[in-house]
Amino acid sequence: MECNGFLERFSEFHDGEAADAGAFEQHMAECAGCRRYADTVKRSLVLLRAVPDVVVGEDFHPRLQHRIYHIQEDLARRRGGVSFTRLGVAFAATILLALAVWGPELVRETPQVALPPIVVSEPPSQRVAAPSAPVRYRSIRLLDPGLDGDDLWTTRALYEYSALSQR
Amino acid sequence: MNTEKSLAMTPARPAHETRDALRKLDDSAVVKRFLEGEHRAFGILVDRYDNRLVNFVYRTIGDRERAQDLVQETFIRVYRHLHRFDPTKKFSTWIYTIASNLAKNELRNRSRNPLVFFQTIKKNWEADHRPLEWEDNSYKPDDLYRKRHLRKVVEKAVSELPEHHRVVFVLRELQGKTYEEISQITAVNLGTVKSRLNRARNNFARIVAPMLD
Repeated sequence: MECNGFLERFSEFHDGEAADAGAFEQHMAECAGCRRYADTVKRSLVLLRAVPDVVVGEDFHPRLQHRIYHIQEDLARRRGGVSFTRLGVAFAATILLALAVWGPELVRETPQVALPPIVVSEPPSQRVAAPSAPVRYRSIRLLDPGLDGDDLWTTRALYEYSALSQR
Repeated sequence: MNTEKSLAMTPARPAHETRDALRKLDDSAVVKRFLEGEHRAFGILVDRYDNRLVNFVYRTIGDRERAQDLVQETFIRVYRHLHRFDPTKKFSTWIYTIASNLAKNELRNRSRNPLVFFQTIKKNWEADHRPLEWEDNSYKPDDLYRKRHLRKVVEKAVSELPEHHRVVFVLRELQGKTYEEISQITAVNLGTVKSRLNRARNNFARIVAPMLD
């Protein structure tokens, strides 16, 4: 056996599954390098197994129980309660029923009603003269005859509204 | 759905008596009791496999907190699908397969970065095709320093193994699985399992050798 062959199949020999274990033993007796290799693998694996194991955290089991509780709750709801499938079917049936009842109304054309036209009389045309003097709003009739227009801004006055058409 | 049946309560018995009786049963019997409605049986399965699975996933992905999340997810999937479990098969192989797939997905998601992905591909190819080698070093390093950091070195050596070697290595060396079980869990043939294990041991020994006397 050569060193390459020894290294290629060493795992079988290490695990006790090599049919030609004698050849491995003989090679190790002759080759110090391969003998040291076998010893190193063996000791390194012993070292690996000596490393302490990791343990689950304190919250691991409570978290898992909490998740399982929700799974159970969900299953119980699907068993005894209204499932989303049933809700969906009920909703679709309601829509179809509504369409069946009100559909003809929606499709029916609205009757056309002929209304008489509205005639709007044109306002009388008025010529607006350019003011040469201060404009006095004649349409404004002061309730208090004693006041004149100049007092509009200095005194409080009450004004009677006059229609636009009369201005 | 059989899981629904399992929610039904069995005739009342003292809880501690039920737990003690369940602990003496093997995995298949515990699963059977759970499917018959003894939902406390699931707790027995959790107690048996929680630390083992956390160690397996932790050694595979290198993140303890994330390993616990993945093991939680493993138990949830087992709970949901236990009614589909074939009782003629080994329960431990089934639960390890679920955990292994979740760990592989985690590693795959991490390597979505193109650079990381390329480096992983390159590393895995070299690990499979590099000639096995061994140097007969007889120098003695600083023993006190090395021993103080021995645990870190060992853990680092495992984490440096290529992922597809690491899974096989951890299942064999730390979980004690047989070649056949590893083949079923990882869905690779027996020859590939032996080859990967051999290379993993070679790599591991090369890294750790300077730390040994």
